[in-house]
Amino acid sequence: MSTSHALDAEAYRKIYPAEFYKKFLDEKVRPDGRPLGRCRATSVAAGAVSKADGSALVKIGNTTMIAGVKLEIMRPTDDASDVGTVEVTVEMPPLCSASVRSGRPTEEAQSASQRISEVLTHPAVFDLTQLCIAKGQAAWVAYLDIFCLDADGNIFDAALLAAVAALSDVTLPAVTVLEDGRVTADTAAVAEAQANAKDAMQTGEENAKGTQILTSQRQLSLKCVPIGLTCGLNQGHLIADPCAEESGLLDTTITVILNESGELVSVYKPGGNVGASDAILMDCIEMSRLRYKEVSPLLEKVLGKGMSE
Amino acid sequence: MESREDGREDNQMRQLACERNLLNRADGSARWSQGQSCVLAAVYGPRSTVGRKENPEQANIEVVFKPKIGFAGVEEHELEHVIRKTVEGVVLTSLHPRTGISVILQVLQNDGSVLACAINATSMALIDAGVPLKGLVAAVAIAVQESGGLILDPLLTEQKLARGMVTVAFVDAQPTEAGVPTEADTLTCTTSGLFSADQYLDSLNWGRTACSRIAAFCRVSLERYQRGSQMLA
Repeated sequence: MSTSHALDAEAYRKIYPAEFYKKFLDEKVRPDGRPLGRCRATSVAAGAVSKADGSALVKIGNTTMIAGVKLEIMRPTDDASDVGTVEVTVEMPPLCSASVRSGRPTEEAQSASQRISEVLTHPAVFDLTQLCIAKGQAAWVAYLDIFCLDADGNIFDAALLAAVAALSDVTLPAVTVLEDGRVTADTAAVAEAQANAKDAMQTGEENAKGTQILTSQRQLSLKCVPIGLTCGLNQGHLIADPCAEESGLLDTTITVILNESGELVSVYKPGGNVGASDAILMDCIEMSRLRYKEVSPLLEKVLGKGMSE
Repeated sequence: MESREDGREDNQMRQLACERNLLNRADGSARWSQGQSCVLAAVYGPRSTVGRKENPEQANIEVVFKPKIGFAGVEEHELEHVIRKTVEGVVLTSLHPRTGISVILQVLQNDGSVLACAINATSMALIDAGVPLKGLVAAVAIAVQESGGLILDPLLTEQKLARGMVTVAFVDAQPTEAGVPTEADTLTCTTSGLFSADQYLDSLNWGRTACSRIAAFCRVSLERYQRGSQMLA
């Protein structure tokens, strides 16, 4: 008897997902047991890809994102001679969810790429001059690839968190100029250049022969740490961190990104079936503040820096 | 108080202009301009669709955003996404199941606030096509200046100097019988740059007022047009 009852509930959930969900919302709880405003368990691990120049693995519930940074040296353009670039790509391969098919990138992934790129390349968030090696001659281009391994809703928050962690995890290698004028980060060449520089110091020569060091090894840092929270609206109820099943039932979503001093980095509400009153938007900002306090210690721990000053 | 480069007040819109039914192949079209910013919108549909786009419960909406020069990139795809979601919020999609509605936007001139301009053009083109809507959607951009002050409907140069930008869209429903206009809810909001929550709330209020004025302009423009066509008939 009890088995058939349980089966009924499962069938009801499949056939009438909206009604099933509403029964939970009326009781101010969600099918996975969370209260409406609670996010899923979140974890951040830096350095998840050993061969990448910087990387991070982020989990929010089942949603899993792996981000890696690959550095390349490029020649900067004439109109932006003292900055490098960050190229953000969010990929949702077919393995991440049953609803993703191979072929063109999903709209969700494209939208996330553009929004993360907009946040991370804003001068108040990330100083692109850090990526300059020699003005007008060489600069770093950081390819920040974020792969979704499991898409269980709230792709954007996880992707942003992974992006921030991976970018802060990057150590720019020392760079030297070869005799033929090429700029390289090749370890052997750098070691030779360092030895040359040492010799020059000892002999007191002003212009050391051979190769020179252009920039020494250094850690990338963000001017402020943006962390986002996505909330969904379902029949007037504000739901934090919706999972994939919930995402399909939402009327609209609101994403608020804040920095450590509580300034808004982004408020994003793309249309949807209902509008959001000012009170709801303020609630979202407030929930986002709470979320910030929850997540920033996780980031600090893995990156080992005092980020929330 | 520093005045703006084109002599406007901080909370003053640029001159609005709207022309409809310009394209004879499209079911509806509109050219919307705010000063030097100008967007042309064409609407096709509701028309039949095939394959995965066909939804048995509602019309499928597709938005194509063409920049002034070059090909559409990731940035344009994001604008398409925002505009599509906004359109889905106002079109009564369940009235036309298994069909598709295409909105094609072409930027003719970009002098700032181009997303707001595109949403307004879309709104007028949808009306021109006779697509049933919940209400009239209007959008506006507000820039937060380095000094902390707000400016409405920024130019491209003002946009570049700004600390942050907010683009908001509101649905302006017909006045209710009670006559008391309720505070409109934000349908769409995108922001860039850093600013405080108070500045954000202020920009929402500015946006709300400006959008109701834009909607009033749309109504006047629609009425005049109808009168004109009746006179011809």
